[in-house]
Amino acid sequence: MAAVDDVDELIEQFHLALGEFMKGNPEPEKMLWSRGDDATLTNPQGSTARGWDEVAEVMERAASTRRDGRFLGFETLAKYATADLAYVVELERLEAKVHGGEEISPYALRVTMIFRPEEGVWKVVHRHADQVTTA
Amino acid sequence: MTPELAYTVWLERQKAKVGGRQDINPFTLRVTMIYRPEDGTWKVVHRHADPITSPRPAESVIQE
Repeated sequence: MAAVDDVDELIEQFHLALGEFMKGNPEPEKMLWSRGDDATLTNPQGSTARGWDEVAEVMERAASTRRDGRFLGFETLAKYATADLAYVVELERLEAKVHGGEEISPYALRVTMIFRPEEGVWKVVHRHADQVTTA
Repeated sequence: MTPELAYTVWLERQKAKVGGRQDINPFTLRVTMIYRPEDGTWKVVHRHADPITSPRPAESVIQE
């Protein structure tokens, strides 16, 4: 039985994984995701990936365009958890060299994530992220 | 969907006169919505919508 408090732990792990993602490594983030056919990822590059295979592919492609980056911080806008489903709405601040660029560029994402316990462990089942245009 | 929380992820196709434009334009939104029962009735507690439905380059996240 996954405790509701463990959602916070998953969110913390996800933020650490984002730091790796911004260095070009999607593997830590991939470990935190559901392998379900109903996993969905709508990312800032326009993806509407559905099912783990598509989600993983999109994640790998996105990570390959990031280098030398960091997860800078976040602001939680809303968070709510029940025993079977939970969500967070947050603003994420990140920076990286993007798409072969030589300069490290900071940017912010507005993010909705949905979590579900699978075999007693909370997993990400959906992530919706788009860039903040007025920060 | 669970008894206490539910969510949907979908594409919405809409048509409207947007801003001050005189012509009706179709557009598509990627939408995540989250619902929760309140006093026995499902209510929307969160809506995340964006218009990014075609591939954008990685550097589009950066605001210059």
